[in-house]
Amino acid sequence: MSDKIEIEIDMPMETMLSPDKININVNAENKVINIGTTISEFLSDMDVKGRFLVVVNDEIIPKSAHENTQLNPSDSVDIMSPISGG
Amino acid sequence: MKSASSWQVYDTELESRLFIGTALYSSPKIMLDAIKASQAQVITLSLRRQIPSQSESNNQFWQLIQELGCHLLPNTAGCYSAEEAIKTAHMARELFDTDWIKLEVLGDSYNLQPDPFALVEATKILIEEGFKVFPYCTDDLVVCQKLADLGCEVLMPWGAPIGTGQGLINPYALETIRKRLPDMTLLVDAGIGKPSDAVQAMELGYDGILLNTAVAEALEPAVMAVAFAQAINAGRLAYEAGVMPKRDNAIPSTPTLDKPIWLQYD
Repeated sequence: MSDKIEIEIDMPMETMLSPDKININVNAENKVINIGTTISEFLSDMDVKGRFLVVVNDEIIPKSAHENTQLNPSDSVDIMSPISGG
Repeated sequence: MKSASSWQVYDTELESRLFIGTALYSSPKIMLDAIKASQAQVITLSLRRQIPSQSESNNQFWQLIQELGCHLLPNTAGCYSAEEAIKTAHMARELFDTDWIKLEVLGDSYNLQPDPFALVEATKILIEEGFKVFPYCTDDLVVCQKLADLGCEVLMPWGAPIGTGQGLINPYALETIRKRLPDMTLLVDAGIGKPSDAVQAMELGYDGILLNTAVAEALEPAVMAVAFAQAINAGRLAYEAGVMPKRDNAIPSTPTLDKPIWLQYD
């Protein structure tokens, strides 16, 4: 019988080691951001420009709320943009 | 050249009876030139998860769309449930600042056939929420009647599956919808391959045509766009002028009385 215990943690190492960081999901990719980051700050850090829409956990966040909405651990953020269509 | 009468789509007055898609062009410039040449006033487009700063083409696309100055008709392409289509419609309303939505809810991935049940379900909810729904539907009369009962002022039955260029596979069904819903604004959406297909739909009394592939995949999209614009105009003028009824027997167009030579043939 082995004494070995395996623990799987679904969290990037950077988040584990930095208590001031949180992990979020942006357009199906993991991102590590600072705790308390607002949507406006996040968009600025990501250099998001042009026509887009932010959806957090399936909820549309109007532009007017970007400045005052903080992102939380494990938030699922979708940034939607116009594309061609028929 | 005489133009067909103007028409109204929900609360918007339009001259052109062609709605044109923005997809499948080989370059943004070709798209721009083709749409301008078509003189369409309504263009379809969509939305996806993309980060604008990471996609130069995305920014360029939006700039070109703004340059066109057309009415935007966002679609819910690729949705396979009412819930998914409703969510997409909400996003489209916010992103494109319009309550128009081309509602697509697909039921089969082989022929991209609309799911009539999910389409009706999604239409009901979106109309209650104030959307102006342009449902992409099959040519099933009863489905069209249900959509009309829900408050749709425009219906868009298919001519044939999307991107096939098959033309009007079931003109009888399309004509029946026209006859049974005489006051409804009807467009044929999808399946149009060549200008004569568009003429046929317009001669049946359809109010407009929505197409994309037939122009985008032509060797000369801008030229084909003109061909479609003229065909749609011709078809509409023919409908407004009143097409003669078909007859089984031949009737000479030149008077037969007082012919210079009279021979009895039968």
